[in-house]
Amino acid sequence: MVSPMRPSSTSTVTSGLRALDCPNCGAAVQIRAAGRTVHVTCLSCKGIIDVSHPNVAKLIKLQDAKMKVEPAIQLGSRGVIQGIEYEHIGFMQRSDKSGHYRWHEYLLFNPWYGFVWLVENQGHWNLSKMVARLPKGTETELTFNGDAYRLFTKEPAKVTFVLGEFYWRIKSGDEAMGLDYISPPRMLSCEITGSGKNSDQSWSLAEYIDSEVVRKAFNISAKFPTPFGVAPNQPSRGAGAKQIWSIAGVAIAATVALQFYFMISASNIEAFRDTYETTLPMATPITTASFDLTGNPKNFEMQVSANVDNSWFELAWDLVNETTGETFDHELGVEYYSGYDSDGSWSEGSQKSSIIISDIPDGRYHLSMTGTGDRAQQKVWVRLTRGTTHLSNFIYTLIALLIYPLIAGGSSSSFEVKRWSNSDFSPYASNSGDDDDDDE
Amino acid sequence: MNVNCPQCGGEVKFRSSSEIFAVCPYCRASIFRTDKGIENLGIMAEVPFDVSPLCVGTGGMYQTKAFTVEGRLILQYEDGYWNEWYAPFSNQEAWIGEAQGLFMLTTRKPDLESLVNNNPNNYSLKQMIDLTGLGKYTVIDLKEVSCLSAEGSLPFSSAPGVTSHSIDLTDGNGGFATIELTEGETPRVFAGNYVDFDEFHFKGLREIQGWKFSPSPRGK
Repeated sequence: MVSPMRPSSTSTVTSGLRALDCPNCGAAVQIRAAGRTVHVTCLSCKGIIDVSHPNVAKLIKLQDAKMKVEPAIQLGSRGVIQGIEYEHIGFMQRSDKSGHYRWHEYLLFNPWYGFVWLVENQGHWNLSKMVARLPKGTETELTFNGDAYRLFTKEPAKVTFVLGEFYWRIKSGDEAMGLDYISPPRMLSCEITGSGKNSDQSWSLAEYIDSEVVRKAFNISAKFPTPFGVAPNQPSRGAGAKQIWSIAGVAIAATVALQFYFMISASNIEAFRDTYETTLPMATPITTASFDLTGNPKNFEMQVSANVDNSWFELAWDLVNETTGETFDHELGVEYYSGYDSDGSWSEGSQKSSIIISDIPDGRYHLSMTGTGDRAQQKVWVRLTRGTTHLSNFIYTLIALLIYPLIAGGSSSSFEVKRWSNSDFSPYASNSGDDDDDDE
Repeated sequence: MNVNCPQCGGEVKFRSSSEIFAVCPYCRASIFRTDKGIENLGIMAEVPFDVSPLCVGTGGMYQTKAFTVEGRLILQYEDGYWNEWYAPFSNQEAWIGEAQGLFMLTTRKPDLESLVNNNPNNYSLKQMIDLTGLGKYTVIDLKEVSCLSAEGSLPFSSAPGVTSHSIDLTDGNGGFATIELTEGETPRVFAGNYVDFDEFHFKGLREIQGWKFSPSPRGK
């Protein structure tokens, strides 16, 4: 009997790294996710090595040696994202069919929680994870976890450069069909490789992540480039149009209700009314009989009407408090012109005019009025009403309440238009789907 | 239920009567247990180095079911290899599959094994298969697999080099199933779910040098 020394099977501790020699250049190659990694690149010669069999390391392909792409996050560096520590183990540069529009994908690994991707596109970042559940819906509209997603892009994507290791066979030049569906700040992506009967699709769910969060997580001192444009699933800044309008709606409803209350609670008492035939210019001011102002609100409306016709009339009037002697002096004019020219008949001005004066205490008053005008004889009608409602204030308030939502809602919807301007499936486009000019 | 390895004499553990296969932890002899006795099927290949957080002996609790990992199969296919951890519940054969950073927990479905088609050529990607009592599943992966290595004890013999066909299915709702076809054997059917790491409530995880386990804040 051979005496057993120690068990040779898996110990309860592992060193976490597998090392091998590059079959192409002999440089040392490290594998950080051993057992899962299928392809790894040699950092020295950039060759792609197949390690899908544990004891075999086979060179698959050499990448263009002149290609020099610097990942924003160093291979092997670690960062905590959403409470989980991840190591950056694989970097891919991908592009559209033309090869001009490029983006970068960073494969992150945690031995317990598996893989996530950080995807950088035009300075915008997304955190993406493979999903086991399949979304339901049509090719253009999906639901997933209760959220509605809309197709944003459908374009082939290829791998143009890789560094590090990957849990599937990766070849630069590999093409896959990519479909992105958005429900900001989330995006569902489907990648289809192969075709027909042998096509394989995988789904991942991404969430927009602030570039500063990524930079700080990986302790990178250099500033990241400012994100360019609007990303497909970038959340819109500030409140959305819907939210703004719902707040404005409440404010408008409150204003209308308040106005309604003012209207039914206003006294609206006619305090004084009279009609005069005067000769202009007037020799002496007209002094009216005394009248009482009582009721709420503490304002009054002065209305003046005169039969002006291609002429003007102005009434200067003082409201005199007979108890205190306090005088409120105002002017109110009317003018009306009309005629006929090559464009037809025209008119401007009005025979009526009115003004509301606020903060006039209850009391006994009279009016002292002097008229001026460009006619010798003038018929004038004057009416003074206590406790009226300011329809104009109401209207100004309404306008003020509408300005912000119109501007903000406009900017929010312009953000949406901008977002969708990069899509072939824009709901804002009159003719979607057939413009092919977006190869940047 | 321990036996002495016919090759080296070391102690080999069989935890229950349903386990009929074990790899000697000392000399890696593949030991097959039958009514007649024990048989040495040959040397099992070394377990490839990996950073899996599980090991033989890891325990856990899924929902109300306690389990302990008793063995592992490492299966090779064209695009790599993956772990299947044998982690039986008290009265059920259960497996934890580890692939692409995801975990699949399945249990053996003996009732379905006589119902499924046993010809691998009759399966194709995207094919819809009705698994009686479980619902409609779609084929998401077809591969030829062979046992690369094994350790611990297992409920079936797994001689190195024997290839079988593995058909993965999903119901699109987190449900996962595998049909395993080996020539000359009854099909094996496993069904269960994709399960998040935290849902296993693992204890006795393997230590990984250079890493410190810290539970996900979402898992708490």
